[in-house]
Amino acid sequence: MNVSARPSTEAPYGFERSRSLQRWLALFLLCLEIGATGYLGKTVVFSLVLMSVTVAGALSPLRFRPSRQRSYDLIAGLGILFSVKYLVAPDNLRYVGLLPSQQIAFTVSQFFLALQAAQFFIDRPDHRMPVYFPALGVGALVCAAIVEVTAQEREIFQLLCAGFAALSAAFYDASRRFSPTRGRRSVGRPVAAIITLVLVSIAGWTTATVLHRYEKQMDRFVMQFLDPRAEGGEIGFSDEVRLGSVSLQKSTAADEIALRVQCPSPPTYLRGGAFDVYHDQQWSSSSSTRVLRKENRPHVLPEAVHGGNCFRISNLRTPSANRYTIWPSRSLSRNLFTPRDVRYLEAATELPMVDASGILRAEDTVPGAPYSVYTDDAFDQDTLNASDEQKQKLSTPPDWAASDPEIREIADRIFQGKTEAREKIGAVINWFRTRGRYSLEVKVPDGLLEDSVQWFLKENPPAHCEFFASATVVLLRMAGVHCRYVTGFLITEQNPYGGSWTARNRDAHAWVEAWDGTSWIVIETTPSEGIPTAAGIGTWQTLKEYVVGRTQRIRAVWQQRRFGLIGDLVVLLLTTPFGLAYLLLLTLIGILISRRRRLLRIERMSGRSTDTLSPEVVQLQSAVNRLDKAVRHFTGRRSPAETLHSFASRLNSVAAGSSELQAAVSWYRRYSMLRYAATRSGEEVDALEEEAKGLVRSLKRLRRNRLVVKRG
Amino acid sequence: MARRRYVPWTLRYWRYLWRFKLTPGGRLLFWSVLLTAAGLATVIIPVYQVFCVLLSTYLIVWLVNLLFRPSLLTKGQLPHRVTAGDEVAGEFQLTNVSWRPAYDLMLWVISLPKSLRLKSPDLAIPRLGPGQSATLPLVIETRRRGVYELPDLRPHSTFPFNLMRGGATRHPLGVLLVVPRFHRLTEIDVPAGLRYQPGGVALSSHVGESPEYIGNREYIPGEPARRLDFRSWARLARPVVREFHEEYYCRIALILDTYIPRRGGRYSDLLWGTAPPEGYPELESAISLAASVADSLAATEHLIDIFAAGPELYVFRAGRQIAHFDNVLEILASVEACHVNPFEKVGPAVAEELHSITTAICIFLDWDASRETMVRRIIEAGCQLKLIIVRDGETSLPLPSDLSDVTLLTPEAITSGGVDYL
Repeated sequence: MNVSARPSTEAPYGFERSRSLQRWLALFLLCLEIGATGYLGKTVVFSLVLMSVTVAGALSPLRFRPSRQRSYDLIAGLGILFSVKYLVAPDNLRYVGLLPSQQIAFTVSQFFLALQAAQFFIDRPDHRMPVYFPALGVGALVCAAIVEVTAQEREIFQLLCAGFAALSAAFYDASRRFSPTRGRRSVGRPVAAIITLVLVSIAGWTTATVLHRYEKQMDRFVMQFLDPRAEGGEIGFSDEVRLGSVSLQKSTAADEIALRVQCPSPPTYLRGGAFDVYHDQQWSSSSSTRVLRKENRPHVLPEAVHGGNCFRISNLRTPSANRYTIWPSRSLSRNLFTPRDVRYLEAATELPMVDASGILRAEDTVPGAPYSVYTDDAFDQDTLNASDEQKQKLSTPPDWAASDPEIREIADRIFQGKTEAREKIGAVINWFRTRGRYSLEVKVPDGLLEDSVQWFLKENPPAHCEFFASATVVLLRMAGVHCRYVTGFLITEQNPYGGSWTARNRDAHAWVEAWDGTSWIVIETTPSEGIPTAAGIGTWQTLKEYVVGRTQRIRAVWQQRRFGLIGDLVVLLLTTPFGLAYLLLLTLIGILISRRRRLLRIERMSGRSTDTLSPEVVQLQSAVNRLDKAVRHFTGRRSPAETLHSFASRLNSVAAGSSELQAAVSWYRRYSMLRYAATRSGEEVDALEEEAKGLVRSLKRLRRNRLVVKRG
Repeated sequence: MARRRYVPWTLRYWRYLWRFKLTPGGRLLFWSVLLTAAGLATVIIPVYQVFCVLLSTYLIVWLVNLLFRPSLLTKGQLPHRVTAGDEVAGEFQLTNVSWRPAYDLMLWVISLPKSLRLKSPDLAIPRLGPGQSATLPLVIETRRRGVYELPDLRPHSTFPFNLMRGGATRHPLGVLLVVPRFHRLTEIDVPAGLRYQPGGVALSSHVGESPEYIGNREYIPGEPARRLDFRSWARLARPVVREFHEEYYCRIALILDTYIPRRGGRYSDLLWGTAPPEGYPELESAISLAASVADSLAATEHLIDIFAAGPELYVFRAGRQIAHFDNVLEILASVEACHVNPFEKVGPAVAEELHSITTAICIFLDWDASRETMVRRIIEAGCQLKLIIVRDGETSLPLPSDLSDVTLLTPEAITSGGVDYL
């Protein structure tokens, strides 16, 4: 009773031949792998022993047919064997120095090779090498290749890799059984296969060579692709800044937004770094930092829109506080840009730090996360608030300034007759105002032996803000005024749509803060054309930035408030002009989509588009629609499933005693005949349409009369 | 027609890549490329060289495979019916309809059900010139009964190097019915009897006890009008009906248990998968035994009702030439395991039929409270009972001593043909 079908896959397929070829290719492949790993690891004994075992296994008839359990035991046994080998003799001089696990990798490579060699002793039901045989070889090569190589070794290994690819391809090629070919053997197939192998080798070699030669360029390209603003993001505001780093910040993606600030008044100077020591064209900070501790948030502080911890820097001196909420770009994550005299900080950080200059930093902030700082309207007018050592550094000019008579002479000329700090500061400002020229590019002569600020002071070339600020600090310190070099952003641009203040990369700036005897004041000696000002940004760009800013803000609020935000959004939509405009726009789009869908549905139901209808049909359709509207007060709507004749019959049932309705019944019947007639003349259509218009008028009259009667 | 579920094109392409485009060697090459891509981190160590060579192999083989994609015409078909455990084989003729030769032609079926296995998929035709034809065998090993809608046959080229498949030709294979394998019983002892069958002759065939005319009698109001004898009414001037001798047959219910409890919780199928490729041994043996019983009863004049107790009760009536035994095998081929205890649900449905059942042959996979309830209900309905439990080991509850006709069989005994007599 059983239904059976016999297989017919035995000979004449080349079973024995392909099996034998595949085995030979596996042998060559393994020998090549052993050679490659032995060459990289400089292990002769292991390679020779394993190669001998492999050849013996391939040639001898000795085979085992293990169960699945025994196969696992074999793998585990080899694993234990090589683990012991690693524990007993772990050191291979080649595999040290690069990575901590290099030694293990080489042992794993030997394990893979041994596992491959064991395959020659296993008797399988189909007498074939397993399909994963070359994959084990990949593992062996990868593990063995975790070693630093010389140029020659690299080339030889590349050659061996190409050989490995060719033999692996041939191995898989021999894994099939071919039907015997009749007649003349074709050379097309082997030639095409060989050409493919040559192409593979050339492509592999070329790719590896290009990769090796242009690695750095490609790395840079990839990094730039992943984060175009990452490079140079914080270079003007790190612990040590070279002259030119702020101008680099200004010129790199100049129009990209660096900071968005929400505050009641123009934020102007936001500080990112303050430096007291100048040496070898580089500013650095020697002031000590202290870690701020979390505190409870005082009630007088306005509530921030984002979450985070509250930190006190100094006590509030007035009953109210001004809040600055700052949204930095992702590349400015480490610096906290703040105005001077910050009292409180609120940010999603655990251990922010503040230095003696009042510069805030936080290493653990999430890139792009907002933070708020609070100031009051009081000025710090007590003391310089610095240690003696710090005071010394703030008033000591560089050695070259003190020793250069020309600089000395300039300083004497500027400060002649000036005794008070305020007078000296004013003199410096005036001096730069009369002779300063601005240029973002400074042409420092090649082979300049002196410091570039020294050269700037003497030669007075066009320069950028860093030169002016550095030179100001040098001159003021020569006059004994305590001052420091500060970098950050000068913000003057306000987005008209949201009211937030915007700092772009081109607004990066360097200036001076000097102690005038009672407080720290900002000194701006850069010529006016070099001071960042609000540039004209197009309306669409401004609107786009506003939308981006709002989205960023909503995202931050969402992270803090989750579903409470939805209520706020609804309120926002209903109470702001933009929200109402947005709702209106949405409604309009909804209506348009709805009408479009209805039109599409009608077209689908009628099977054709109204555009393709003939003018007569459109005319008739218009007439019947008009009459339908007029008649529906007497009979109700004409349903889509109701034929014209049946509707006419229904109308007839209520038309007793009304000549107008009788005429309408007659009209519908004639319309039906004309609408679906094979041919129709324009006159007939016009006549029917005119009649419909007359009927509509008379039906309206009839309805009015009936209503009057009803009310009467 | 059922709507096809939407699958994103990325997922579709991934499926195509994994199930068809890449051969086993190609898949390993794919993973190797991904593994060695870690070497791109630095060029100090030469892992990147292995990556470059493997990536070049992958891309160039892909390109060459695309260039040599064959255009083929396929002829041939597979048998549509086979017994579980046997192989189904067919010869397929491939004709190269392209202007260029095709190399390394092979056959492949994507996503074959896991109970079916393609045997010898490595057979290949090395070269087929333009217009030439050659045949390749396709052998499918069937490991479990079932009704399988086979995916399309995909003749393709694995040139070069058997790493990727190329070719868009498809050839439908249709439906394959794999009927359960069974061994014929030499004798079956069925406790027989006769019971009134309300359906009468309409239930049976033209063979056997046809209704016999006894005579006429007066019409009693409420009787069916179709039994009125109008001639006699006309003659006697009062309604008269014809009276027949009622019918009594031996009707046997074959109740097949399909309840296989899940190994884990409700979602254990996600972890363990559904039925193994060979099916559940107890269930397959029980189905095989059911086929043997149905085969033995098919030769007798009994009516057989097959109840497959699954998520829904499958009822099939056979015997007395109502349906052929082949139809019984088809029904048994499509029975699936049920993972939720079905007896509480199907018990009432079986009980409805018990008033006309003479004998119930229950083939159970275990003995527990729910099954005992059903058996008690059968006995209370006055049916004879033959209980067979197919199980490898102890039953959940001890077998009751008051049931006389109980047989405990192991799956091995059934599949090896060791059960000759029941």
